[in-house]
Amino acid sequence: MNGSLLACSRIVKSLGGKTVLDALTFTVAPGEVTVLLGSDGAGKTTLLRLALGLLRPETGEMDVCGFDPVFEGDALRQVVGFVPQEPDAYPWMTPRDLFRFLRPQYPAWSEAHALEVAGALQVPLTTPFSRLSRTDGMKAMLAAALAPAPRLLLLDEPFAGVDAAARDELLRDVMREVRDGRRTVLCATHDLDVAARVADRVAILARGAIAQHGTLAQILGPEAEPSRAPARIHELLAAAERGEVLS
Amino acid sequence: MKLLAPYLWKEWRDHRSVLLGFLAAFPFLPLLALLLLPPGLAGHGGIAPLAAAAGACIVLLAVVAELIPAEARRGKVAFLARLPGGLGAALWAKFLFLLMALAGAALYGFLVAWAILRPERVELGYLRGLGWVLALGLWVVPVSAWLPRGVLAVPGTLLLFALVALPVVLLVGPAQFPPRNAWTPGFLQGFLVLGALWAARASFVRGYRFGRGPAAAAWRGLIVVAILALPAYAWTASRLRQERSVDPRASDFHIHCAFLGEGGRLAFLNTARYDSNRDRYGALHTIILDLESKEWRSEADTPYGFGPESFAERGAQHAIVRRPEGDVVNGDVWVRYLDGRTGEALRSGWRSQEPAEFTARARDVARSMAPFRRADGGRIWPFRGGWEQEMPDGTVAAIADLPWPGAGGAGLGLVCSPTRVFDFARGRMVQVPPGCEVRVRPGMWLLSKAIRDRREHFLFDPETGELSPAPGLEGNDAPGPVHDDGRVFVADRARGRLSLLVPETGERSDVTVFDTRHELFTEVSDPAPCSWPLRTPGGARVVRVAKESGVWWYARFDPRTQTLLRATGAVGSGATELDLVGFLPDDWFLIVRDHRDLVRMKLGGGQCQVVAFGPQRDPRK
Repeated sequence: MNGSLLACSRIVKSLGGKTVLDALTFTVAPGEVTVLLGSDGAGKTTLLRLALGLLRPETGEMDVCGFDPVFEGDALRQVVGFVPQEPDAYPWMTPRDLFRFLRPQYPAWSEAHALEVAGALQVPLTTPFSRLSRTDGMKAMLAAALAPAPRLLLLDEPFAGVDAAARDELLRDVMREVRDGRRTVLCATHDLDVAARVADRVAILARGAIAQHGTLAQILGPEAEPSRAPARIHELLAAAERGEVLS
Repeated sequence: MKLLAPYLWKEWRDHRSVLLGFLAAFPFLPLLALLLLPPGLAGHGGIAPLAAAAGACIVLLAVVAELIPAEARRGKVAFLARLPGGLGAALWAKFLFLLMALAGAALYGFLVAWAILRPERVELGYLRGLGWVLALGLWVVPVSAWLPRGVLAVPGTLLLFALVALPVVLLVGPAQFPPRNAWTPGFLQGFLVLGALWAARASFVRGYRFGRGPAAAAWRGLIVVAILALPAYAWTASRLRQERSVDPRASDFHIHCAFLGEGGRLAFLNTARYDSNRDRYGALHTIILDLESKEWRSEADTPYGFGPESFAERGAQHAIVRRPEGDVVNGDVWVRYLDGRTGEALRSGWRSQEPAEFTARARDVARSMAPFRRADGGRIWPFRGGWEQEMPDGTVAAIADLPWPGAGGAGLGLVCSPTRVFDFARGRMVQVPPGCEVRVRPGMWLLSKAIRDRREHFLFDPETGELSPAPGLEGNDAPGPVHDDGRVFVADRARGRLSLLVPETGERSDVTVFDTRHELFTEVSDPAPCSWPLRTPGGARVVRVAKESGVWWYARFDPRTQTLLRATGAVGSGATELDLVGFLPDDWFLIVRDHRDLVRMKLGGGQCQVVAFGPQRDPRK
C-alpha cells in the first residue's frame, strides 16, 4: 500500500456496457485532502463506490485502509465515512434518528462528536429529512459520516446543487472539521473552486484514467496565481478530456 | 440483537401505518362474520384460529411481501448496503420483523375474533394452518427480492412451491403428500425454514450486492431453490425410475395375472411393483417370459396389460394375446395382437381389422380346449363374445342367444338365469325349479336343493320337467362335476371317499386319487370362477380335489384307471395364493405362486419347479 490509505491498481469497471474506468491507477496519501476532479460521467462516483465495496471491479486491485473492498466490505465500512451526492436517509428519519440508527453499526461511533458536529453545522436534529433543505441534509449526513471517526472520508459531490453562500458555509465547516481531525479525505467534485480552496492534492479523472495527479502547486505550476487556480484547473480538465496533457 | 434493534425499529417505522391500519380495520372482519354467518358457524370452535390465520395472511400480503420491494422501489438498498452491517443485517432484521408481525397479527386476529364472536370452545387444532402461513411468509421474502412488485410475491411463492412439490404430488397423489418417508419431515422443515433463509440471503445479500438488482437476485435465489429442490426431484426421479422399470428379482415384484401362449412355450405376464407400505401398485409392466430358456423381456410400461383373445377361463392356452395401446385420455386406443407362440406382434389395428387367418388360429385353439360337449361328443366353446360348436360334418356353427361371459357352468350346461339352463347335450334351453343347484347331463339331470339344514337330491327330466328322488345319494354325499359320459363325481364326506355315480341307478364306481393312503376327501369340483369344465389342451378333464383339512389340488381324471392324477409336489411353505396359468404338455401345469413366482408342477407326480422368478420374497408379505 506504500503508506497510502487508498490504492487502486489498473482498475477496470464498466457500467451499462460502457467502460467507465479503464486501467485506473491511483493512490490517496494519509492526512491529505485529495480532490478528484472530472466532468459528469467521468467515473468519480464509480471510483468512490468501488472504494467503499459497493461495486466490484472487473479487473485490477484495490486496497482501502488495508482492506479489500470486495471481500472485506463490512469491516472496511466501519473505518470509512461516506457522504453521498444526495442525503439518502429514510425520509421519516430525523438527523437524531439517523444517528440512533447508525450508532450500533460503528464500534468507534461517538454520539457526542456527532452532536457536536451537527451543532457546529447548525443541523436541525428533530426535523425529518423529508423536510430538511438539501444543505441541512448534507450537513446531517456529514455529521453522521464523521461521528465514527473514519480513517478515510469519501465525499461524493457534497457541494453540488448547494447555493454559493450555503456552499461556502458548508465548505468552511467541513474543512474545519477535516483539518482539526487531520483526516484523509477523497472528495469527488467537478467544482473547480472547491478544488482550488481545499485540495492538498488534485487528481484529474478523464477518459477512465487519472490524467494528472499531484499537489495543487505541481498541477498549477510554480508561477500560477492562487486567484487563477480555478481557471487553470479548468484548462487542465478540458485538456484531459481531449486527451492532451498541458505542462 | 444490539445491531438488529435499530433495523427492527426502522422496519416498524417503515410499515407502521399499514400495521396500524390493520389493527384498526381487522375487527370489522369478525363483525362482518357475526352479521353474515349463521350463528352455528360464527360460534364454531375453529373460527378464532381461522381469524388468526386470516390476520397473518393479511399482514403477509400487505407487509411481508413489501419488505424488500419497498426498499428497492425507494432506492434505499444502496443506503443499507453501504452500512457496516451491509444487507445481511437488514435481511435478518426483516426476518425477525416478519416473525413478530405474523405472530402479532395472528394473536390479534385470534383475540379479536374470540372477543367478538365468543365461540363456545376453541379448537386449537386449526392453528396448525398457521405453520403453513409462516412457511409461506418465510419464502415470500426471497421471492419478493426477485420481483419488482411485492404484490406478485405471494403468487410467485405459491408457484415456486408448486414447482418444487408438483412432481412429488403427481407421483404419490395429493392424499399421500408429503410422502411418509423417514427423511420427509426433516426435509420439509429444512426446506421451509433453513431453505428460506438461505435463499433469502442468496437473493438479497448476494443478489443485490455491488449495485445489482432483482434479476441477479432471482438468478442466485433460484440456484439455491434448485439445490434445495434437488432431493425432491431426485426422489421423484428415483421413484419414477423404479415404477417405470421392473425387476423380477426385486422383492416388490408382483404378478397381477399371467396367460399361457399356444404351445405352452411363452407366458405373458401383467406385472407391477407393489408398495406394501402404502398398498399401492406401480406402473403396469407387461413381460413375455420364455418358459424354456427362462429369458424374459419387458414390453414397456403401458396403461393396459395383456388380455386373452380366445378364451377367458383359466388354464387355457392362447393363440393370440392382445394388449390395448394408445392414449387413454383421448380415447385413441388400438389393440396390438401378439402371437401366442412367438410373442411377436401380429398387427396393430382395431379389433375388427384382425386378419382372418389369426381368427382361425384363435378359434382352433379355443376349439381344442372346448369345455363342453354335446351328447354326440361335438365340442362347444366360447369365442369372441359368443358360443360356437362343431357340427357332425366338422363345420363350426354359432349358438345363438347364450349369455357371455358371466354364465356359470351347470354340469354340461350353462346357467342363464335362476330358472333357465341351457343344455348343450340337447342344444336347447330348459326351465328348472327355482333355488336348485343344477347338473346338466345327457340323461336325467341331477338337481340339489337345500331343505332346512340338509341337502336333498332329485332327478329332473328335462323333457317333462318332472322331479323324482335321486337313488344312491345320501345326506353326506357332495355331488361334483359331471363327467363327459354323464356320470357324476361324488365325495362321500363321511368316509372321505370319491366315486363316480350314475344318478339314474345309483350305481357307483370308486375313484382313486394318485399317491394317497389315508387321506379323506371331502369335495371334488370344477375350478372357480365359472365352474365350467376345465380341460388340458388334449381334452382331458381337470378337477379340484379338496381334503378334509381344506388343502386342495388340481387333478386330471384318467378314465381308463379311474384315477385322479393330482400334483403332489410341495409348492413351498408359507405360500398362500396359487393361481393357475395354464396346462403344459405331459401333464405339467403352470401356476403363479403368491403373485411372485411362476411354478411348474406335474399332475400325477411330485415334481414342483420354480420356473421364474423366485426364490426372493418380500418378507413383509
